Amino acid sequence: MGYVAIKGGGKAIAGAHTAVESLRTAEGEGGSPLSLASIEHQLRLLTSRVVSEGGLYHPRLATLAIKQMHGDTLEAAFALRAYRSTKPRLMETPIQSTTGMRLIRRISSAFKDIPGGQMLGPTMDYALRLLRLDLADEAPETFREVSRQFIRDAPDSDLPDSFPKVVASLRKEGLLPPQPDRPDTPFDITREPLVFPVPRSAALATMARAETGSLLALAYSNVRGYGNVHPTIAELRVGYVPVMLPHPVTGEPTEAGEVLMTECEVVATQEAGESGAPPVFSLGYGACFGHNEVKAIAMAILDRALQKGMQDGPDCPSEDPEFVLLHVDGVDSMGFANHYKMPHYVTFQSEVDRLRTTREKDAAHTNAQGAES
Amino acid sequence: MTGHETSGDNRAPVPRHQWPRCLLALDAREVRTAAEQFEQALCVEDVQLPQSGLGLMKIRDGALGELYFPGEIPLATARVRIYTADGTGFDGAAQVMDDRASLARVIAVLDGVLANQLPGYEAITLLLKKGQGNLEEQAKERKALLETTRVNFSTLGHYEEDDHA
Amino acid sequence: MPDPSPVGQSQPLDMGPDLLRFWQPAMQQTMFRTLLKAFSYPGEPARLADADGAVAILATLVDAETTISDPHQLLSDLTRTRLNAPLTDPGRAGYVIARGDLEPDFSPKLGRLESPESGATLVIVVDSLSGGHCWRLSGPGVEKFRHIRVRGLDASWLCARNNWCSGFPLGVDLILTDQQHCLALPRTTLIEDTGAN
Repeated sequence: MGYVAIKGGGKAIAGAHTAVESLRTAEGEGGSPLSLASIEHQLRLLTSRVVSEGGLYHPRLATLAIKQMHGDTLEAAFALRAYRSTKPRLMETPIQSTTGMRLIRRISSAFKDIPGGQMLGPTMDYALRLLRLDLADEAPETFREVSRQFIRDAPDSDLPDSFPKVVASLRKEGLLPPQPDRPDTPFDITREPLVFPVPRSAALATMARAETGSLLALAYSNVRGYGNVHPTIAELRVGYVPVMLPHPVTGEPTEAGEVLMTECEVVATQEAGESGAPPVFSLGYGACFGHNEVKAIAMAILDRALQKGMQDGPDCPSEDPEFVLLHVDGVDSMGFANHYKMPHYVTFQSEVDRLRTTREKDAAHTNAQGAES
Repeated sequence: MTGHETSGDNRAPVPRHQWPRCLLALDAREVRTAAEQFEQALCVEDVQLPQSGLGLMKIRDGALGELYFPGEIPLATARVRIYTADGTGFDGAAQVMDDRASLARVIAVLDGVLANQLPGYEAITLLLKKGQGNLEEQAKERKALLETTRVNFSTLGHYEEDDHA
Repeated sequence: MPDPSPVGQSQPLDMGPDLLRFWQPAMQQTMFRTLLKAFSYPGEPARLADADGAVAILATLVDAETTISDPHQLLSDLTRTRLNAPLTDPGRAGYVIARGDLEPDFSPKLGRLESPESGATLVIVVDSLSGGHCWRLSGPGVEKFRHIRVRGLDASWLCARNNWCSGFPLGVDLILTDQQHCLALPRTTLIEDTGAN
């Protein structure tokens, strides 16, 4: 058996591309290609995940990536990141206000009565996790009727477009720590590598496009006991944040579009106030593109954990910025895991050689010892 | 910041800061056709070449009020100068969350024509109303999501009492 | 970047050739290749355009992710808007455009040891690259020696440049242009004054 470096393989690779496409179109005569609009609407949470992990708010391209990568979220996010790397950076937006979010969901578990009220919005939180067999063979007409019904039954509403934040009232009552006076130049993770220690803005940006599962596991480890964040959600909101840019001619803030975002503020354990000041709550914050509630909650928990870790030193992995921030990026971690599949023939051959040589030396040494005794 | 929801035909005119949003709410072909007519009637030059790229979104976190970048948005920008018959130039510009630089240019042309009420601008006013209508439909659907899921805590208390009876 | 000038009527039709062509992708590709070659063969003049070569150079190299300085007001407002780079003072800019006939009265960025590439690139506008004062070049990209002739460049520039580049790899890179041609003088090039005119 020879371990030789293999040249070529181009034909095999071309074959692999075709094989992939053949599986995607395996339905053959009876099938029809997925439309991007179908993916965007019927698989909206999958689209939201890819938008968030890709780091680019482009739902339509995210659906294309999902279609192309056969639903693999890591690969789809990768494709979206690759796309964005080909586009020039035109500007940094002015500070956008999430208070102006056009909500579709808004709840608080810390407070019952919040200004504007609680609105569950489109959530599956209260649904029974029983498989709906009626969806197995859904007729197009039934599908359309559900949509029509909702629009027909839409009540008139006097609800405002946006609602004040719950934390705003907490802040007004003096229950929150004063906002720290830190330099306000946010860290751009698309331009600078993470060299620790990094500012909190680097942590928030890294987590905003982190792989959801990794973030969730680390947050879970903290609340399960490898940490001591005991969070209560002050507010969770999902909605469309208008992006306002100054008009190039008049300078007037003009709406360029809107971004669907999920934003979560958690209240964590009380802290003894500094120098005899009354104790205050500490907050964690999570916000990301798309409708990703679990991710936003996990992010808020980790934000709180990392704040503690950056201040007092980490007592557990989820409080260690280096541990958290370097291992939650999906493209990084998936890329590394995948690279093991690339030919390592030469490296491995040298390892085998080394192993053989070592064994021969050991055998010779043992023989020599045996001869002496 | 959102479109006014006044009913009836005597709505307030759509403010300039909502023009791109209203136009983007229409079929792109309709918007392009409208701009083409102005480009044929008037002389339009690029002040800056239309560009398609990315913007880095900046927000303030709700907990500590610190700035950070949650991610990037697609951005197309254009700036044009429209010359009337007597040679006077009027500027129009657009920055939209889209990758189509050509569409940004089209919206920039309409922006310049309408802002300066150049001949034929009334057609754009109609387009804006149509777009605004589409946005109002969208707002209605979103409000319905909120309205139909409003939690009324007072009725919850009432049911609890019945259980213990 | 927003233009702070007010809305409304602007000047009547501009009869001059519009510089917008330098931002066309095909033109940018050509310009970039030209500059790449100029830096690879220091001192070898390259043709840029019929006019406004300085703007052509900046349009190719500069965008929103760097900074420029225009201490001698060589760029029009329109060009500055199109370049889209924040304007700053010459001591902090990534790119400085300056008149060659004036003494340099600023100290450009020289870079840091961890990132020497952050030293500034200076675009210097001169009268001619085909006659005038003679300098001798040697170093990477130059076979033995090359002589260049420049008219409209104040004598103090050579001393200033050699001073700025004395802490190699820190230093600045120069692009001289007479608006139709350019030549590059990277910090790796040794420049000596021949004293000849």
